[in-house]
Amino acid sequence: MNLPRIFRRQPNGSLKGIRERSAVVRSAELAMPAFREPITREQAVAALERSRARRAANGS
Amino acid sequence: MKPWPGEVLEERAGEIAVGFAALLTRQAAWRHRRVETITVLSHEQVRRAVSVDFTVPAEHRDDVRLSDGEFVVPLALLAKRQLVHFDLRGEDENSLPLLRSDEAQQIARELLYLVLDLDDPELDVGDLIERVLAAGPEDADAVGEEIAALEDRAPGFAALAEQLTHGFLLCVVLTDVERRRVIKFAYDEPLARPDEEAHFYDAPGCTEAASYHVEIAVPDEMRARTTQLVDDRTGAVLAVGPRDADRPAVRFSAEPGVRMDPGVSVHYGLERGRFLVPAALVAWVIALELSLPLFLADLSALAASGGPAIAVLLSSTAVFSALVLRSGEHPLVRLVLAPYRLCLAAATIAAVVAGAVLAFRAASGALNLVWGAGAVVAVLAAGILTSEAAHAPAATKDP
Repeated sequence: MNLPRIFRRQPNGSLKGIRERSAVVRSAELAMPAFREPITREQAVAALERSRARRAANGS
Repeated sequence: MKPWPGEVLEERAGEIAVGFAALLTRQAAWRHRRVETITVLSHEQVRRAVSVDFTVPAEHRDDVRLSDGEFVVPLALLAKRQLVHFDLRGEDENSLPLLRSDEAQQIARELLYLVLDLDDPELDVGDLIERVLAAGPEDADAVGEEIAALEDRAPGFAALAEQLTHGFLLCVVLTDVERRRVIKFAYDEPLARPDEEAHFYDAPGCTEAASYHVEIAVPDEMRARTTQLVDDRTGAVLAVGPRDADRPAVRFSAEPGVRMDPGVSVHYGLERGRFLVPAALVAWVIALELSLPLFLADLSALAASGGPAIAVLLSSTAVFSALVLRSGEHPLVRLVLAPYRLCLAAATIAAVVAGAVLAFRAASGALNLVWGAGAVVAVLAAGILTSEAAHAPAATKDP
């Protein structure tokens, strides 16, 4: 036979939204966004050069 | 003339951003393991200690070079708010330098331009980029609305800009990236909502390494009844720790590219043996002290002699003091124990009042009334404490 709980809440069956029902520690860290595709070095170098050229042309 | 330290980063920010673009879009490919230890300091604060085990890929080592013999490595994205007791150390516990947030912003600026170019080179959002970098809590929402308007045209830029509105890159400066490194950092975090037993620790870093481990350092006298790594978005349980453990650990390896709101959900409970069982025993002794004389003895005759009344008073208060007045107790334990201590206090007060009416030789009707009510209170308190002790985890049940 289970004795009744007096001071403690039984955890709800579903864990969806458990954050809202708990004492929350908001992490000082944030998640990096999940990119669809990894950026390769070649793509990044080319993008940087294009971006720099555009900014130089715009005077920014 | 050689550049001063502040000018070196300005010159190298673009090249470092090239390295960061590759590293931050494939985090699990170069971060081998991330280990977090969450220590409950009180009902209001925890300390999170993180160690990141990584190898900078050979092709990106020159990209992240700041100067001769200095390399910048991104460890995490930190929220733009004050860090409490922040600490950054290397393998041998030596302190390590990190970029200031304004220095990290120079790299972030180049990174945003770079990602923007890959998404849509025609977009001209230089002003927005500056507002993203300068955003504080008060204008983050307004900047976020502008970013949201770009989601269709520049999804990668919008996602990165959204996060850089709220946070900045934590970048360590290392003298050696030729080998595998383990860098540790730690900080205190407040609990946003108080709850004694159910805690949820955000764990955004669990997807940012090939393998993620988290350990909970549970306060003395308590146990983690359940420990689960949960995706709050869907309710899916990602990993489960041992039940009723004093230092539960959870391990997880994330699928790349899956969006989730991960966190560690811990349900704490008091150990049975340290307070609940002794308190229940004391409450039952008091209940018997009050109920047996009520049914088996002549209370008016007992009142004629002071001995029994004084014995009841002294014995119950001495045991009560031993259980309640304890020094060095963890603040969370003190909070969780409060209702149980109230039960014990109620039983003790019942005994004291019963002893007092006996000592003052109250009338027979008053004696029976007070002792009857006291017995009921003591039995109720003992029943509650027994019920809670029966549900509580045993201290010996280690993982």
